[in-house]
Amino acid sequence: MRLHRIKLGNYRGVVECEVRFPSEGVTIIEGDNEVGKTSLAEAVDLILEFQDSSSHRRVKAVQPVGRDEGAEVEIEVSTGSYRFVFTKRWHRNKGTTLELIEPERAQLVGREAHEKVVAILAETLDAGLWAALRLEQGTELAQASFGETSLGRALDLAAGGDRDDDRESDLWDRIRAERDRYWTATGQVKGDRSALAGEVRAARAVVADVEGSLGELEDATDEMERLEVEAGTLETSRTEHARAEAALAQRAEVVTRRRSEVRQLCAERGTAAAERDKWDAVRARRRELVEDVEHRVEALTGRQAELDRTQPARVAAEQRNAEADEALEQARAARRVADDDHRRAVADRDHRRHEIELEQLSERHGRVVEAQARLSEADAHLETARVDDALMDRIDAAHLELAKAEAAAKIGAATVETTALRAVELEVDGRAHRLAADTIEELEVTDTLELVVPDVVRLRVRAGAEARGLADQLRKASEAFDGLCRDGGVEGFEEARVAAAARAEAERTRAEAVKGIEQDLRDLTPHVLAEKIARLTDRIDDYGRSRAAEPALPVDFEAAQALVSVGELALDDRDAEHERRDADARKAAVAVQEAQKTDLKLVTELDHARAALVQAELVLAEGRAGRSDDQVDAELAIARDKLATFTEKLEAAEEGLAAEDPESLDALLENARAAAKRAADELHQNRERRRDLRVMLDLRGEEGLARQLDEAKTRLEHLTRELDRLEARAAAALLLYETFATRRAEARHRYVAPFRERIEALGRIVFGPTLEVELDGDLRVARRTLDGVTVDFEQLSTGAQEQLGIIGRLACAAIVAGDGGAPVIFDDALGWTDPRRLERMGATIAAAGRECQIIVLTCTPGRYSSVGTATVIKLPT
Amino acid sequence: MTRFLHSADWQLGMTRHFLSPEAQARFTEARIDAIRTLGSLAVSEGCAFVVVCGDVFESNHVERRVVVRALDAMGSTPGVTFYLLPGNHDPLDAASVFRSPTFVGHRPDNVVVLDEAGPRAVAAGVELVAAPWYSKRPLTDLVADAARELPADGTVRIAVGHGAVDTFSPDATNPALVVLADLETALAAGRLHYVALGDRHSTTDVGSTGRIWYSGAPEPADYTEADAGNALLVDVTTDAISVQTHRVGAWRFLFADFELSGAGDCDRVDAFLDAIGDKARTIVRLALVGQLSLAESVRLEMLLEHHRDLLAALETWECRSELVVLPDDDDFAGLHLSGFARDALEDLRLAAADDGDEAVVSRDALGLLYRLGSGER
Repeated sequence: MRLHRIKLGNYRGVVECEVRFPSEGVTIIEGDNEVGKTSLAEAVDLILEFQDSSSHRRVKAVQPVGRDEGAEVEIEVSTGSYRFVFTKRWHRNKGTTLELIEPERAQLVGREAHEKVVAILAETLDAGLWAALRLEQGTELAQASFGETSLGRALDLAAGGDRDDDRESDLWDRIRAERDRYWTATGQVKGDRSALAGEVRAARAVVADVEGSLGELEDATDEMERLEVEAGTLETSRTEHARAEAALAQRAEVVTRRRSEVRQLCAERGTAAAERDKWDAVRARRRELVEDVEHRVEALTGRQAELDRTQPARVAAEQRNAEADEALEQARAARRVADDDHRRAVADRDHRRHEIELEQLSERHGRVVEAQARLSEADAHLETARVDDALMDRIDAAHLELAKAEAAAKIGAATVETTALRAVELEVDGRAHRLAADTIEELEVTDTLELVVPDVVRLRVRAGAEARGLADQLRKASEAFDGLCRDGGVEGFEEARVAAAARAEAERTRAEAVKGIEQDLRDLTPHVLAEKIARLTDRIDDYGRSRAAEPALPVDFEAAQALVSVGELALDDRDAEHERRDADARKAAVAVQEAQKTDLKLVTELDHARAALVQAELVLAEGRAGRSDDQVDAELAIARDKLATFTEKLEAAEEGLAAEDPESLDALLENARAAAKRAADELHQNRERRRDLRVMLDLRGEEGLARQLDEAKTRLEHLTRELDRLEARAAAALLLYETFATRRAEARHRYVAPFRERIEALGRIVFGPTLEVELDGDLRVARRTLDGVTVDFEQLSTGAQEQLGIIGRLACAAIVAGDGGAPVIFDDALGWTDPRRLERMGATIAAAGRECQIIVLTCTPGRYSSVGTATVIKLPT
Repeated sequence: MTRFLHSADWQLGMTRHFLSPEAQARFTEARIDAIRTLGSLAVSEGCAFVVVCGDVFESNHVERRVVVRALDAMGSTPGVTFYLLPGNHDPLDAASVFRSPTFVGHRPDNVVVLDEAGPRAVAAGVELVAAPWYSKRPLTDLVADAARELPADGTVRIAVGHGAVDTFSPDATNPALVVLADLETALAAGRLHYVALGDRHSTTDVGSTGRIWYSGAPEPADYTEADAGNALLVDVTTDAISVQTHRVGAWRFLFADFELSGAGDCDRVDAFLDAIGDKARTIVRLALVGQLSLAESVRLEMLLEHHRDLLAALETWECRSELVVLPDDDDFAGLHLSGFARDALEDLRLAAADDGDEAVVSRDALGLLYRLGSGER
């Protein structure tokens, strides 16, 4: 296909635009953005694809904005043997026109025109190739797939193979579709085949199931047959056992009768034996009684003899016992006397010792009383005498101070010397003072001295300042001394000294008294000591009053003590004597008791023997009163005879019974009964089982199992056959596919060589002489090798990928150009290519352009300047 | 003279797996119809009774419906007594259909089961000597057992038996075989006068006496039955015998083999099938051997499909290797294959020319290619 001309009117933003292409070589269409470059390529698609009436969104999208016009496209194209001008207007004033120029002129309009173009393109243009050779904006990097295009056929041709046509592509599609009916993409069995196989399995299961049911029926039938035969056998068996049982039962009756006879005779013989035993017992008892009487007489005699022998010994023992008792009594009296003497001696001694103790205690008590009196006296003195050593020391000191002050005052004081001229009564400091005539008296004035001659004169003498000071000191010393004396309750220094000495004496006396009291009282109190003395006094008095006069009280403690010792020795002797006598008396008493016990026992036994003999004689007498000894013997003989008779009869009857073999008969009869019962039971079970089987056979027999089995088998056969056919078809489809696929792959390998060679030829212009490429099954570049380095396509730089993508398209277009081919259209490609490569790409495009039509759309003027032979069309802005 | 109808092997309840459900229904119906036909024939020919020599039912486990419909068909001619003998398909065992509640409950008076071995008077001076099967595996010659110790006293005796006669059976060890020599001896001695047998579906005169017959089944059941679909009208006296074959069956089993080697042979098959009358009641099996091209094979398949629609059933021999379909140059010429497709075709043709399973698959693949290339799906 060649594009000669495209004209757009009211198309998107383009009001009008027409571009004419040279039929060979490269056409570069330059124009700014939105002037309609891309619209040119798009318009070709729209006019070829959509009818004028189409409301497809792609058609709607090209409606001019803001203009009430319909978009219009006109193209002039030559393809195959056709050349035509095709015009179409959408949206408004819709219309389609086809003006055929070659092979012969014709004009078509409307739908007819559209369909004619579609038919022409279907006949002459490889739609896949058309699409593959387009490189639109935004898809630069995509490699075109040429696997399903006429490239293959062209390559096949180039490879020297046979020419083929669309028929094979269709066939290949069908082969693949047929394979896909039975197999999944991964070669697995498809669902409907599995489902059918499942149905076959299910049908087989149904057959097995029904066959099972029929098998059960047949088993039941066989069992029924067997049971019927068995029933006859069991019936016979039961009858035979019943007959045997009856015969044995008859014999059993005889045995029963015999057994009854034996039992009867047994009972009678038992009675006879009891009678014999009774008389045997009676006779034995009689003999026992006689012997008993004899024995008891003997015993009685023996006891009497023994008693006679023991009695003298007892009497002697009693005599000895009395004597021992007498001796014991005497010893006891002697000991009592010795004891009394000893007691009295001890009491006397104690009495004398009490007297001594009383004397000592009284002395101690007297001393204590005396000391207490002294103590009280001392305490009383101490209570009043306040001048102790300390106070005395202070008084002594004050006294000294006073003496010193007096001396100082005397020396420093003013004096008034009065000389009475006559006896006169004066008042000195208010006190009456008499002055004898002619006496001179010196009065000290320590401070102020007032002399009054009554009715005459008042003289007041005042001492000077120093004298007054000394007088004052004196007064203070005097006051201190006086104060201390007052404290001690004494008047003056001498008295104080005497008082102090008296107090010291009293304290000494008191200490001595206290010490004496402590020594005499020891751990007692005066009161307790007094009580003790009182008690001792009472005891001594009491003893003196109570004691017998004789013998006389020993003279003193020592004499009393000597008597106690004598008494103790005498008492010890009497005690020993008494113990000896006591032991003798006990021994004699025991001997008497023994002798008396022996006697008593013998007497008692004698009494018993006497009573027993009386009783035995009584019983014997009673027995003989009933039957005499001879009569008893006669009865016994009769009973013995009777027993012998019955024993004989019984033995005969037992022999008769044993002859019938009753044990075996019982076993046989029991067995016969069991066998008959077992036969009856088995027959019953047989009948039950047959009844069950009958019911089962009646019910299931009419279910039509035979038909069910036939139907199931028929279904299985049909399904199996269907599955076989399906499997055969699947196998055939797979084989066909695989055979074709193998051959197709081989053919592809043949295509690869010329295509690859063409890519490499064009590519070496860009990449240099070492370029090699490897193609995949869809004829895409899989790997590029440059200077011996191989890189996967995806690993190449974006620019290199873009360049190879374009070279692939150019190579393809160049190869198929001879067969018509399709124009290669690039829309703003090579944006990723550097200037050096761009230049080389230009040469490549130019080289390819010599063989096919190449249309390049670009908004970058100069990008393709290196395409030397290109025709450049600038779209108006 | 005693006149009666001799029939056997009704095998009611039989199904044939190769029949479609619709054809099976008609096939079943035909077997019931045959009973009525027998009844009518017996009436029209003045027969005293009908003996049915075993295998009245296909199995003891047939559906209740089959039983009641058979009894109803027999009951439609009340004047004719049907004597039914239990055979190997329906032995008188514990599961016997003849003792089933349905049979017992619906049995019309003119239906009598020969359930005891030995003679049974059916008219003055006429006895049936029945040899019923009590199990599927009898251990003696039941007919001989039933006929033992019969006197030659002028009574007309008709033995009614079932099973293979020793002279026909390949299995000489089978203890239940009917010994022909013993029957002929009994006939010669005048103890028996006619032996009515069942089991063999083709009408057969056994031995040389003319008094021992297999009546055959009233309707055929298989391709191997040479002369099925008949009933025998028997006139017997102590001295004379007359046996006439009456057609009562409507269905046919046909078997044909063709050797195919070209388009003309397909025409022969077509013509053969075309000539069959009463197609709806005819079951055909074709054994096809030979070699056809793909185009011929397709044509054959189409014509068989056409006749399959017309016939009650059309079976072809399932063993595919007998009829080899080998594509020839013409088969694919129209496809104009070239390039890799032609190479692939040649590969398949080469493989198809071999023997074995792979060759079969290769032929199928070629057939598929032919269909796909011809634009068929």
